[in-house]
Amino acid sequence: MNQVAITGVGYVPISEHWSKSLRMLMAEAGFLALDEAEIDKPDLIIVSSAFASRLQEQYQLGALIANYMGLGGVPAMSVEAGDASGGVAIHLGYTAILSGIYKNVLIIGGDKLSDELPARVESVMASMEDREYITYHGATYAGLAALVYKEYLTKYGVKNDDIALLAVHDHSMAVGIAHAQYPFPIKLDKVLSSPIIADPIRLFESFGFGDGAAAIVLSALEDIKSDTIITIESSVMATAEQFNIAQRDNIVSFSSTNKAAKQAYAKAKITPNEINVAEIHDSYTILGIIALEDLGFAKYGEGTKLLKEGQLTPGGKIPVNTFGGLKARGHPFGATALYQTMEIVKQLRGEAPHQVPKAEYGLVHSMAGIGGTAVVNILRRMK
Amino acid sequence: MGSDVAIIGYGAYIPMYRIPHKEIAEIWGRGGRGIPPNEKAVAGPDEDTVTISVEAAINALNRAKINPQDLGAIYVGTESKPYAVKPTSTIVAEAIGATPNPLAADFEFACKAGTEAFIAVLGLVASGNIKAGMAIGADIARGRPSDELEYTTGSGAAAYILAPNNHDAIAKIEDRYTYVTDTPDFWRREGQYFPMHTYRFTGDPAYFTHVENAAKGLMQKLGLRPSDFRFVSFHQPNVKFPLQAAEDLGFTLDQIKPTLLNPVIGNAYAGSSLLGLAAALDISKPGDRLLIVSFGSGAGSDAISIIVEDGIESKRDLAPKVIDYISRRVQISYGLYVRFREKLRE
Repeated sequence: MNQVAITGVGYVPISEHWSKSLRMLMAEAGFLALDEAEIDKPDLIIVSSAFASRLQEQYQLGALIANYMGLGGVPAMSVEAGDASGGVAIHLGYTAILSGIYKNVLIIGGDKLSDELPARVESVMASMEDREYITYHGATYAGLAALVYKEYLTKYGVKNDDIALLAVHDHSMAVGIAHAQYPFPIKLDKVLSSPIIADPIRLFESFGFGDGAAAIVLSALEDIKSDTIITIESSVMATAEQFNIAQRDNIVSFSSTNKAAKQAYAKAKITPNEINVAEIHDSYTILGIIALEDLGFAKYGEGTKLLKEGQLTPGGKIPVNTFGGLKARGHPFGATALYQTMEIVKQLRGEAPHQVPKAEYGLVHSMAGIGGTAVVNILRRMK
Repeated sequence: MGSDVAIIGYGAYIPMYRIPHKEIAEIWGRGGRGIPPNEKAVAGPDEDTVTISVEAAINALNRAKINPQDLGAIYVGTESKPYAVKPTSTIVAEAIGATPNPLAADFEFACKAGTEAFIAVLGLVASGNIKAGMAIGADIARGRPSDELEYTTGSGAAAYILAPNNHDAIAKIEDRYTYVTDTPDFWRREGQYFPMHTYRFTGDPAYFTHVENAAKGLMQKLGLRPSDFRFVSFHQPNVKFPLQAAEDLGFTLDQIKPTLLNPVIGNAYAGSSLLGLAAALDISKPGDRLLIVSFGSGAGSDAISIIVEDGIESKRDLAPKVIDYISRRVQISYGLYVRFREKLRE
């Protein structure tokens, strides 16, 4: 069987790019990834964007980006799966190469939230959940995450402070990261005194709106000659057993993440203990804590223990979000999983500013909304 | 540009009513930590842009000690004209006894309209077309209830009388520099009562780009550095922006502090940077160099360099100072604020 390798990564800093359009950002990231992979022309382009169809009112983003990059004629498609758009795009690229039909796939994720006013972005974000049954009633992304947060506090008797600590961790990891949106440390009391956006979630426990684009090139392993080879050992996508959060029995664990993780470990023939570094989806701190548990790094209700013990930093038991995570590196939706993957690639290559020593296995967790879709990709350094 | 035009009179006016941010925040459920102890000036129920302009104009005339009939131009820069069509400036001119011969017009350039009027008068005086002219920046700013703007939309006016540089001038105009682009950060369309703004887009691409480029352009043109100025008055949409611009450009807190009125009166829009300049003149000494940098959404900035002359000493006490108006303070509730500013609209 073929294997799939990541042969190039490219990205732009996450920021408010007032003077660049979405296509400019995506093309820039795409060209950088192609340059690194030393490929002029991929034979498939997959673009991922959560909101381009509504914030930029652009459909056929795949064909548009292909043309804008001077790659008109190359097969191209666009993937939308909320926050997990990038994860799903990578999964598709992976399957495209395994099918034997495509050898070099360029995947570009991008979103530009600054093109619209915040109230509109908030409304568009809410469309990730069931419009007819959930967001129709006025629930926002943050509002739903707040329900999960409250249930978690009640069920496990954990303190708000312990969960908010994940924002402090993310910021400490973003220091020195050139592409991070907020590359500075913050203290816990600053997080806890920031305004409440949806009780009990505080502003500094949430990602900020930003613009970004990141890209990777996937290639069939037989064609690669470079010294260090980073492969995708397994890529698994899953959806929630119950999409509608109001009808779930348990809202403090996400079946999509859990299922994708279990299968991903099985396919890579490893256990969670063998993962050296991970990028987890923490658009809100609580979702990151739950991810630690659903991914098998902590027992249910004990995610904050790892955090308090300092086990999430390089040198700890399971270093996560070593480039700042969604909170501090940033969360430009459709691009996020591409940034996460690029960061794991840098860790496995030994090029990370906060390097995890001798990292061999890295995990990327991509999730949409309140767990509707999840993708878990396990990467490995081959030599 | 030569230095033959001078400020011979200036006057400020700030309404006496104040509403603290905390009072507004509580109404809209934003109480708790994080609300700064700032407040804004609110015009009374019988005040509008005309009346506050007249107050400032009279103060300027009292310092200039000239016959209002000698004013060859009266220009008012504002975005809160009482009439959509019918000049504010003619009512002001009539009220101060300057009619029937002056040029009179209203200027619109969002919050830059005041300095735009100032520069128009400067040109007329410099060319010898008029003997003296008055420029006023005045606004009773409108902010939609619950919007971020509601915390800072203040009221105030500042008037300046320019004339050829004579023996009792208050300050001479050294030079000016303007930076203008099409940047849609804030606007109000025909028929709309409250303006729209674009949140963080009003920062870097709008305020900072224009303010900092105008300031740098003027300093480069004159071969000056921030340390050459005693005080600097920036447009003040909030407290953070002017402080950030000062830091970016290399000005110290001491240079900006006396002009920073936003914490106590809010943003007086077209009057904002001109009121800051008035506050600086109130405490300046002859020889001091002052910098004023306005900002108007849409967007543009005027930077003007001014050197204080001997006339300041004899003239500054001829009218109330900015600090006098700040001290004249009556706190009101949100309810009174709603009535005074006619926030209950059909």
